[in-house]
Amino acid sequence: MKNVGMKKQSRWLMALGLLLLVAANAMAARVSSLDPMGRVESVLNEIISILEDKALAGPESVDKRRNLVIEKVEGLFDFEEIAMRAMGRHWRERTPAEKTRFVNLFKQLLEKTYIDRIDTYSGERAVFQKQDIRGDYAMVYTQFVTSKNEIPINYKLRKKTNGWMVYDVEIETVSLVLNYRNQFDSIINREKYAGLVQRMEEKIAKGEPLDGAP
Amino acid sequence: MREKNMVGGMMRIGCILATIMAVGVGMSLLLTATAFASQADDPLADPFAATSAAGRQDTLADPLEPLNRFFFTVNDRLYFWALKPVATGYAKVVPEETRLNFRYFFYNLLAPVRVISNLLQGKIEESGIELARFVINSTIGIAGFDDPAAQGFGLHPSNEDLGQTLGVYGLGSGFYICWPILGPSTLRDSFGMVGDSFLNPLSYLIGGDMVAGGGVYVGKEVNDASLVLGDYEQFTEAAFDPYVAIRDAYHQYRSNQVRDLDNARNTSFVGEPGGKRPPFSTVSAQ
Repeated sequence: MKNVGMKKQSRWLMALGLLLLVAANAMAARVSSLDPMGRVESVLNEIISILEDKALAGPESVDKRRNLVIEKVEGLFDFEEIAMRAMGRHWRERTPAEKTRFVNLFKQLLEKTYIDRIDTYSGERAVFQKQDIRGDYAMVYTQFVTSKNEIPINYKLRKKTNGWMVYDVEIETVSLVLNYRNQFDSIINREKYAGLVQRMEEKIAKGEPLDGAP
Repeated sequence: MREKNMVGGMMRIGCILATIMAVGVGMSLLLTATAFASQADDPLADPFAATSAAGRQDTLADPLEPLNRFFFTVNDRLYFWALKPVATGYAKVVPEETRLNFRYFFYNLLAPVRVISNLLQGKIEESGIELARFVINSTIGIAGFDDPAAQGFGLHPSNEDLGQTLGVYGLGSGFYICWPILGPSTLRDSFGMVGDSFLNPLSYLIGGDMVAGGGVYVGKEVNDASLVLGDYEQFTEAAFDPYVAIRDAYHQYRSNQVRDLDNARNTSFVGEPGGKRPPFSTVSAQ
């Protein structure tokens, strides 16, 4: 009886050990060892190859293409960190449930707004210029080149357990996170946090831009 | 004896120096430690914020907000009802190459603003480059319709104006102003704009012949807008409060221009209907 118990226990332990090993391997595979610039470049290249894939070009595969791109974007952009930074000083006042809800809403809105842009893709390229690494933080300088313009886009990244993740983007030196923080500040001051969430929900439901008037 | 004293004296001085150094090193270590600690504690820490974007506390006063919001809406409607349809039609008729040539032409006309502003900021070399660009582009570039100065001679523009110059002199933004038609500005930048207009050949044309000058001004705006169609729409659609989004983008952008973060990588402001985007070919320069 005791023996059987021991056997059972050891088998159970072996199974657990195996499981941990497999999990560790899976984790290791997902952790990116690339440096910040290599990481942004590889993800952008993956997205471009999706956009240039002729098998996905037809109007019938619009959704499939979008989902593939979103998957890539979520591997590079740390939406939780972006949302937290955009909320700024109001973040600490939120309950865990409110935080989760807010991150989710903000992510949906960002994806919804920017994903339309991929349908107008026509061979634009990003030129990678340099990276500036300071401890666990880094900035990657790129130039987005179209036939008409060259737009400087800089990615700010932070080292996380699964590799470098983007926490802010600067377009023509304007920080996206700071821009949203100012908007959120202004809305929360006027309409409280509830007002902001209401605006976000309405915007998702409507799928239209909000009017500039308060 | 004397030698010994000297050695002793030197040793004493050495001791004092060592103590000072030790205290110094200790203090700097302490400071570094606290700096690291505060960075680790602050979830919003961003080592690139100071050099690459307007600081967190750096807000722009907006005492005229109700009036500004009104003119923001007016400009927004003007863009969607007039400028955008005209620019879209124009873009269908006129090839992109030609529109780029016109943008070079108007950008070249504004060379006096850049020559003088660079000079006033003590940027003698940049001022000279702007002057050389103006000469080369107005002649070889056929009245400025092309940019051989950048493409052939590697002479790239330094985008300065009098508003930035006042900022470099230490003058603050004052407060935000959204002008009808002209769009986002500040008290300081409005003074800058008035000064710039004296250096702009176009304003003398408008002063001499209102109709012809006005026509050229509208033509320039339509041409500029035709090359950035969709940017303004996308920016305002991504915003929760487009008015605040544009006010902040303008403020960040101009603050960074005053700090010259833009000139290493030439930029222009997106948050303006038909944003005034100068023509550049900077990739080769990097």
